[in-house]
Amino acid sequence: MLKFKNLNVQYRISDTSNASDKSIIALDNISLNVNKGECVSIIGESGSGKSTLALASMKLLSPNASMSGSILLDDIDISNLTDKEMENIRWNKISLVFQNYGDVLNPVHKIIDQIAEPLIKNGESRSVALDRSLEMIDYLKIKPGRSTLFPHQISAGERQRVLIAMALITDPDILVMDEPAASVDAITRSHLVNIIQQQVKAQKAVLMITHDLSFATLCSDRIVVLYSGNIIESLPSAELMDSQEHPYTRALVRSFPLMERTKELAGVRGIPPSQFLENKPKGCIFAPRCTQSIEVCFQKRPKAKLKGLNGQSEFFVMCHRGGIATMVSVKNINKSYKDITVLRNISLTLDEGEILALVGETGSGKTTLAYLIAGTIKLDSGEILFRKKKVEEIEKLEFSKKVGIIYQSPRDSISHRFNIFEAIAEPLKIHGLFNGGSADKIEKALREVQLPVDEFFMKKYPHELSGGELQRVAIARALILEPDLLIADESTSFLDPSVQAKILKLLLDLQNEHGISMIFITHDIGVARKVSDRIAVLYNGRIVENAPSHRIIENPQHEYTKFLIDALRGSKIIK
Amino acid sequence: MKKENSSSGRNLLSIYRIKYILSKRWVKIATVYLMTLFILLFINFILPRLLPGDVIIAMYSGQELLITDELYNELIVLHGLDKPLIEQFYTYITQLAHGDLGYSYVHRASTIDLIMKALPWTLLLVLSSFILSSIAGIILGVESSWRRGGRFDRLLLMFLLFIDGIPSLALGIMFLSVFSLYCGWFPTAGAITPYSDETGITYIIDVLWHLILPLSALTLSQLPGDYLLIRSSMLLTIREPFVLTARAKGIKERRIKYLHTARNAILPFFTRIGIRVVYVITGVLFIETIFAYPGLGLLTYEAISNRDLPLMQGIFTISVILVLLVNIIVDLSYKKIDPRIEYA
Repeated sequence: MLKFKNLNVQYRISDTSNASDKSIIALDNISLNVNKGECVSIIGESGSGKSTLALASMKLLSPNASMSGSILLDDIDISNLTDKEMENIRWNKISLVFQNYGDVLNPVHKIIDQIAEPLIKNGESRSVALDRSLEMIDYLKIKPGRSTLFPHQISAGERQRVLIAMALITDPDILVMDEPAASVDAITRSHLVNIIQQQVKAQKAVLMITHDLSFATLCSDRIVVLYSGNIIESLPSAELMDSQEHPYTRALVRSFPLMERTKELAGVRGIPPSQFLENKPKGCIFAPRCTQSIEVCFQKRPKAKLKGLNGQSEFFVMCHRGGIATMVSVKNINKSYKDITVLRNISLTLDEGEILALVGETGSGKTTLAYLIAGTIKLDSGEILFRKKKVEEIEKLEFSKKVGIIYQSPRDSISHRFNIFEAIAEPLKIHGLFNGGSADKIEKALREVQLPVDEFFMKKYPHELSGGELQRVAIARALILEPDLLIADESTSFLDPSVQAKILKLLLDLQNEHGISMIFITHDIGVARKVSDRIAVLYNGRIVENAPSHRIIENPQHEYTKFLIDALRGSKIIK
Repeated sequence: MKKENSSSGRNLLSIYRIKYILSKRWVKIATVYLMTLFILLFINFILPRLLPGDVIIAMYSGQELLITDELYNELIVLHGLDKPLIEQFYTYITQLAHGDLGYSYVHRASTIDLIMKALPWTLLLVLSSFILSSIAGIILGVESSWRRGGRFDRLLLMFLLFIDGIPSLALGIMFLSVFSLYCGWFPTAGAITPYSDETGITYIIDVLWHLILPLSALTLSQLPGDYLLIRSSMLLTIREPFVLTARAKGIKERRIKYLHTARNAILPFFTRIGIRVVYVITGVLFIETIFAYPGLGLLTYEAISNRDLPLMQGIFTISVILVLLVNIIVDLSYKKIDPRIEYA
């Protein structure tokens, strides 16, 4: 069993600008158990401290690292052992699959000698050690005959397997693997999954460090998310892809090229925090990049919120808001215009930082639903909550600042009497925010939507612009008040495919960078699958299906959804 | 390509065949070395002829000999200097191929005999000093780098940098005056006690007794270079990932130090052997002269001071061949030392 308890690791680095030393926090109070017969994966961006954790587990940190806390290997606390004492523990109790980079294998020794070396150290005869190594090479499906080659003569994927063979040769109880699948092809990767599962079955404790999320879910039972040296979430691997709770975990999943993913990839917004000790934030470490941070997030550290019914201590999320928060929740609403019922008993939720696509044929009530959420029309019954407050109870002007809308046709939504500058400045003026700094703000907004910022352009009138340009102006106008929710109502459907692609990309980038939530209304499920995290299908005023986009596309449940997809594929002609 | 080959009949040396032969590793190496040797021999041949002043006068000026015009012309013909340059070079090369390096008029002996008499002593001195300074340099460099910044490392580094600052000439003179003249522990000159006719074990002891001082002086002058090279190469190698891998595997420290780290750190040292041989040869010139050790160095010194041109040329030729030989050995064995090298 491998157990980290309040582990802190800092690196001292000399600062050349002034003679003093600075410290970087690599691991901040990490507590983690890996039990026998269990595989735990650590995921996180590079620089999050994953490899430091691997090295710490064997006490192999570089001399400029200082460590506090304890590391227990089967109840032996190795944190105070000397190098001499560690010699016996290393590779007998615990072994490490190193990250495959540079000369991680000695360039002047044959690979088989390097695999056999730990056995020979343990007093095994050379011939037995070599035989065992050959078996191990065979087990890892390294081609026969490669054993007497030198590391530079085999491929990167084979080197990776040599590293694994080397770690398995002494059959230790604990295995730590640092990016074991980073340099192998998909077929070898699935073979590695098998090997790791066999090791887990043999009652070994496996700690796996990887940035390959699907590899992590395949191999491990539990996934721990590391961000800038802090564990921010621990969850069962089955929940990683669709029901993660921390905004960072969600952002990681969104940037991972999963086979079934349909949406465009997006990186985690913002930049990783400074790791210098002197800059250590008071609040949540992820707050500056988070899509849902509130005041308290910047003021104090979050406490772990245990998950599950019985509050199992191994699954938790570190977030002041208890995980990804709901921004809008719509409960059993109805709406009719005179005697025509448009929406019947609609319920749905929109998370912070999420893109929800409302899909349905024209007249299905999509726009009505969006306007209800935006508070521009009144509902008949039910309730709509925006951040736990009833929409109709929120002060109108205040609420309109929080919600930006991009309409279907910018020619209709932007007054033809305004020039571009005035059109974008209008929302600022309405809210009394127009001041000396506004010109800069407008310039920045125009830059964000990739439009020119010269005076000539700003003085143009809407009729002088192309549809694509005008839609960009509409986006800039919708974003000028820095809203938290953006509603895009068929805002790309009248554009030609090339311009539409550009506008969609722009919208996605802006949504990601601003970290806002978005409701994307479209009749085109093909477009919806490329932009949204979740799709809600509206049919005859009801929501017939509401699920993560890839589920809807891969496995539509409702007949109408199937019909929509088939119609788009052209496989069924409507008669 | 094949078609053309057959159309050119049984011409074994078709251009493709030549290309194929040249592509072989040993052929490549041999060609390069033969060309180098040829160029060096040509330089050796042409240099005395380019020297300012007259060759004959230069050659015989050391001897009490009145050179009349008649004698001068005779000597010109005797040495074949009246013939065209190409022919002279051809004669030079053929004579060389027969082991004829010329005749030293100063010593009144064949140059090759003189060189062959001196060469074993130089080889003894150079080889043993080379081995000693390499072993000591590697061990001290490895241990020093392993304790980087420690007292052992700092003191050794300081001491050897100090030694490095002393010219081998001064080192020799110091050794000679302290250990031979002042303490009287070692002989001041020669490689064996003259006229002692020792045999067997006493002979070996006598040789070693004469060897110790020049050997120590030469070794000590080589040691800092070896030490510094190994130490800095080690400091870089210690940071390599495979050293961490070895530590992770729980291997004993000494094995990590030598088998994993030093084994990689000596690679640049090995590359430098070819260049170092030249330094040792120049070093031996001073050391042998100071200790009157009857080797090639002393012979060179004498040849220079007597303006013994044929002898100088002979020594140069032998040195060139020796240096090239060492380089060939290094080249051929480099693949064994570093498996990453495909072609030396």
